[in-house]
Amino acid sequence: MKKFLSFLLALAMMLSLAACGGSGDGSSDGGAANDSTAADNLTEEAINEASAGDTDNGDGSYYNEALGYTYGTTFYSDEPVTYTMLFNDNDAYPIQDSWSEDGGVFAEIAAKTNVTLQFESVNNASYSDRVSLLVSGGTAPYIIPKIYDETPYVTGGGIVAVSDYVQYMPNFTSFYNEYNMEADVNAILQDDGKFYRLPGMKETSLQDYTLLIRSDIFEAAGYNVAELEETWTWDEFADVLIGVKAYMVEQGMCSESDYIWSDRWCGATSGYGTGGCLLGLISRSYGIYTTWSTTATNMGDLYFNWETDQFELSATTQAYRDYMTVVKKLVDNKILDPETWTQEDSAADADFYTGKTALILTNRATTTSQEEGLAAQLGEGNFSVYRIVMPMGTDSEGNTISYQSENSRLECGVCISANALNELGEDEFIKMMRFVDWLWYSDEGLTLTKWGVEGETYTVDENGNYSLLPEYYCGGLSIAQTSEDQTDVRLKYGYACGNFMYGGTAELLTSNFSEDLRDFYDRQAAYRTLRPLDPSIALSEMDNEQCNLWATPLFSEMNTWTLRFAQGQRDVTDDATWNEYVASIEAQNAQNVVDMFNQYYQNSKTAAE
Amino acid sequence: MAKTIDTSKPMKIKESTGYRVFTVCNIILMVILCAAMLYPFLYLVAQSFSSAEAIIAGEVSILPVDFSVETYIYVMTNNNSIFLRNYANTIIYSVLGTVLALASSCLLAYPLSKRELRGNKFIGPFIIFTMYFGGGMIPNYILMTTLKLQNTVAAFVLPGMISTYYVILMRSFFETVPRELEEAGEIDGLSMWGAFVHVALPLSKPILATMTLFYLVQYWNNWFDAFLYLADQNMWPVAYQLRNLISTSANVEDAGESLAINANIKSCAMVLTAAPIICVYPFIQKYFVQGMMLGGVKG
Repeated sequence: MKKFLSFLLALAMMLSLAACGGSGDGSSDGGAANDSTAADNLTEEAINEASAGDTDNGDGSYYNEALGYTYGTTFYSDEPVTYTMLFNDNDAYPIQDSWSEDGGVFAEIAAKTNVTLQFESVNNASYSDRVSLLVSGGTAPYIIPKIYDETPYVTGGGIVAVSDYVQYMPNFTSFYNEYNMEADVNAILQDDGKFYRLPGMKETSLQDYTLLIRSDIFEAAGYNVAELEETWTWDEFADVLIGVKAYMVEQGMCSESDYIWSDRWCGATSGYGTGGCLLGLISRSYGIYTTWSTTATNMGDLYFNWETDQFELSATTQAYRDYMTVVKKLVDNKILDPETWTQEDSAADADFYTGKTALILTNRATTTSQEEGLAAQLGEGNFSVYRIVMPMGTDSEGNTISYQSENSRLECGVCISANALNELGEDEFIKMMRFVDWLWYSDEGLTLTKWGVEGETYTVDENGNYSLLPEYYCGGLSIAQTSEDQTDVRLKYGYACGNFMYGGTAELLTSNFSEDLRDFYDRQAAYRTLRPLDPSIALSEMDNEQCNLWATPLFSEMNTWTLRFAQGQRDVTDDATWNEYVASIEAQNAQNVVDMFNQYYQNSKTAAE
Repeated sequence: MAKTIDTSKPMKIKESTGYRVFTVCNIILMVILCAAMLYPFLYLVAQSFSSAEAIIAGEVSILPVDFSVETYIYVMTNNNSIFLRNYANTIIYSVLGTVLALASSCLLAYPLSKRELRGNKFIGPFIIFTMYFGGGMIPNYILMTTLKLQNTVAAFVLPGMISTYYVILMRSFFETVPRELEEAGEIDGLSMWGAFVHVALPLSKPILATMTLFYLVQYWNNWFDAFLYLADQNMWPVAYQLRNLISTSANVEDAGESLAINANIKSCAMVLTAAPIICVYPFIQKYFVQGMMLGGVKG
């Protein structure tokens, strides 16, 4: 009897294991049997084949008679259809019923396309967690916008390999080809050669983050920033700040023991214990990556050295030591407050608004509110601000590195749930993809979701300049309110919200920029260059797991040391300390991570040859 | 000559100097501790009644500056009074959940406290097993969605209805109720159910009060089940609304777009959310200590 029971148990275990095994091919394309890679589907033949048989309307749009819809530069379904969609609800512009009523963004999309978006609204604070839950639980809506990292969802099969369907997306493919997006898009390829997120694509990389300085104080201290910023290095910038502080002390604006720079996006609110935005920006101007980048990609702190033709770890380079030396100089001279790495963002804002500090990080979305904060505390006309071009780093020989900090032309993007393919069937799925193509990649779709309806919310003059009608302003487009009777077009109608506005041509991207902002980008383009993109590496599922096992303690160690250096607890210029630091980093399998990436890089080179 | 004792004055033991010093130090220490614990809450209350400008300027400590109730009005009326709706939800979920949880926990714990219950030795470990091994978040989520319980009150109330730990505490307490009293009741004609309702429960007020507080706090503070099962904002409890208000996006890239919500609005929401449960505490505290001690004697 016992033998029989043992046999039964063993059999049950074997069957369980076999059932858990699956096909083992790692395919997660939601059922579409397709072995082609992204590159295969972006060839002209594939694109022509996808539109073969459809009627060309001659205006960039096509009509598919069998399925009853028009696609391309415009989209219209003969029969009304409904697609489910996740919606990232931001507290800055919470979703309103008026968005689905006349004039609202959803109503206008429906009017133009005959497509109703049935959305599940999720608060911004819970969004990424909710996406994980819905995708893992198999209940995700068809369209999942505002995704920054799709890698966790790929292996579970919850999202579709969208690169299998890009040949059906004329707006995506024409933008991709016209602006040579291949190198950029390659950065999001998975190890099967496909991509699972439709990324926002921008014609040009527009650096979003920079420093906002109190230009009135800098000028009074005798510094012509507009002249200096063209060539200043971080070391020279630190000297300028020391001079500014001396002036502020002299004028009684602060004491010797006060700091004149306390920053946001670095501490408890959004620094995630890594030093956040500021260290990320400084390190990139030295040609390496640290802090925010470690949490953003699986490449982490690895950067590609074009001279040695291999990946290297940023944390143990001379460039890292040089940039931390500048941070040390700023902290030692009581310029940069070391509490920057631990405090709430609101504390940094308060110091800047009340005039205790003279500079702070900014981006396009926050500059207007920062100016309002200053006006509320100091009074209108009692201050002036200026976006500076970030200082340059230097290499080991003292030569300047003129790279701007941001070089990617990709934005967050849209994932498509495997439920869409399973429930709609392939033909209807392709129709939905063509709708997505129109909404996120066509000029008509992008303009609609950014500006609204021409003549009703905005106008375009003969020179191509966009402007809102006088009764509107828009926080999302940084178009400030000028009178009490104006309405925020984003709050009321849902235009310019973060679920749709991802990319587009430089003309469209900059169409809402103020003179001041255009001037900043002109200076940025004139004084700095774009760093070439690093080769893309897509690890296999197993290697990705292995890399994560190595990377977690490694990044933790790096972040700990970086914050010790940045807070002045350890001296990066001291050789003994530096050697101790390098040894502790290397002890965390750093070389294994580097070797793994270089092995992949060599393999891809060999395959290409 | 015999000594006379003045009985009109109460006898008083003279305190030693050391004891007096000890008492004074004790009081000072307690006052400092109380102040340290009260200060953050007083600061929150002060912020909630102050203007955003005064908070940014660093003028607010424990007294409000530019006193105003505008923030409270704003929090309660903003976005179609969603905060008030969520508040009402919290009250409904907490009361309903606590009543159901208490009833079901009692009904489970009481039989388990009876040694003569057949299968007790099997059921006990079976229940304890769930303390250490759960199905996991995703399987639970799939279960609830398959049962079509998403966006229902049941989705919020059911998952936390029986806490194994609390059931064990209650079982231990019920074991201390003298069997003789129940037997006396049964001799007088009570059924087993009657003995439970008329004898065991009245004697178990301390543990019932303690469990009421525990379950109430559990439901009041619970936001995670709302995140999992309640997609409709109109059904959220106030704790989830508060959580979204004070959290920023988890995405590094998205951090720049997050709204900087005024400190007075955050403070106001926190005060409103915490105040009711803080008010309940003093009334249940005496039972709370007693219940914990008695329930914890037997394990």
